[in-house]
Amino acid sequence: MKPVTFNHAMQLAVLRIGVALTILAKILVEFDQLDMLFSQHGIIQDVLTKPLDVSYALSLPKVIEFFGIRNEHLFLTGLYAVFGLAACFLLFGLYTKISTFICLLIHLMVFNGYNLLAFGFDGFLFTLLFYTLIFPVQKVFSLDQLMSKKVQTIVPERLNLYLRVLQIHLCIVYFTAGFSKLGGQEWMNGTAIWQAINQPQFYTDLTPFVKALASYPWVSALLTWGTLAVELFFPLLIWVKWGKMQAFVLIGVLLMHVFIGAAMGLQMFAWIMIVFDLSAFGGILFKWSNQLFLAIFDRKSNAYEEEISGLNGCRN
Amino acid sequence: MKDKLLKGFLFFHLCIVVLGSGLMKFSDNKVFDGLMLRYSSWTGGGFGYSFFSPNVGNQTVVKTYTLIGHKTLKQDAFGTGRDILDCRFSSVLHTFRNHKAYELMSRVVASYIFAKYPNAGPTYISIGEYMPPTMSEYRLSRKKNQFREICNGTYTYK
Repeated sequence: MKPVTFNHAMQLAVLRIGVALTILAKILVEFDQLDMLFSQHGIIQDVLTKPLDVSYALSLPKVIEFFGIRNEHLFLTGLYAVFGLAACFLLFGLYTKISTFICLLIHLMVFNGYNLLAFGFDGFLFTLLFYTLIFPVQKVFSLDQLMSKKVQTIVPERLNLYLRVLQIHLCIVYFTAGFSKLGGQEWMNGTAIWQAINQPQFYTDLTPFVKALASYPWVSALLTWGTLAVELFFPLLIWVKWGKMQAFVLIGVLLMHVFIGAAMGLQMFAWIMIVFDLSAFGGILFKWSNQLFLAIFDRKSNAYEEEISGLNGCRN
Repeated sequence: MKDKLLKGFLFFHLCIVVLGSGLMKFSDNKVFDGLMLRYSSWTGGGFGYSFFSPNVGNQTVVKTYTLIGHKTLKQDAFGTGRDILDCRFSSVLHTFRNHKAYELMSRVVASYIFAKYPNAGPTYISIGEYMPPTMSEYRLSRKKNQFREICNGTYTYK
């Protein structure tokens, strides 16, 4: 019997490492602009944040007001330094739970305080950080696991449950994205991709090339309906254990995100979606896992490998 | 027991994800919406996933023309995805599509411009969208997108 569980446990490592790298990339691009983005003297000022403020959510403006912080620049710089440090710890799996909690807390404060500035990317980072906090990501491919004196185990049924949650969530995301486009004229007549690549916001070095291609109606229609098909049928076809169907579907959706990142300049969004895809279904592709660094499983039950390979929808 | 609690919570979480996804319209109830917002503001579950739908539409862009020292005209643009600040600014512009919000954002842009150019004179702010050419027009002559103004205003410091 193949050691199928290692492939799937690897998905938890992908979740942790992918999320940590995303946060580091976010810090890298935002660090120079913190005052403009997230201070009361930036592009979103009191006049906009106050009416949208809600009492139940922890937010950055509320924290600043509560502690009477006068030097917002210093506070934001310090906050992002802590954010970066926690993300580095998360990347290597050192004090994983504490570092995840710090990352989640800072991200939710910024997100709740400045959600007018938020993209889809921020929402997905929030979601994945929450899963990183509640799933045992510290038990796989981490320094916590290497330094632990006790043998750390992941119960196969639990691992299966965690992966199932990620998988169902991802299927809901794609199906909703596809379904909501069904009534749209541009998506139906095949011009949505032409429309999207013509927006100045999505201009990249590849834009002239992609525009030249998509100016042929059949190319634009192919890309538009291809996107629609991937989003609508991914939640169904990813479960079909027929030939290489699952790998084909997963690679299809990964390529769609690579296209979004390269041709439309939405690299951060593309990256977080690739992390989500691989965390949920990456076991289909990970055949090379190094067992030395992976979690030590509860091997009391001889049937656990079959159980996991059968339940979590991945063919090995 | 612990296992049942965990399963119950994860099932509840996925239910919230479905309810908040926008796939189905369940209720216009304020209590329901409030509960959803409370849950999503702490867990990140329950956001909508309707990207670029029902149509891609045209993204809003802000152009400014600022007179510096009575002789030089500086042009700036916001919402063109130049850097992270610009991308996030675009997100605000696209959230509200009404005249009052455009006017409010114009004031924010004006304050940014006056901070950027301390000796700036009046600045003309034009909010609009770029209309793409048809595919055949682009193939024949590489026709550029046309800017269509929606709202404008002139602002001065003081």
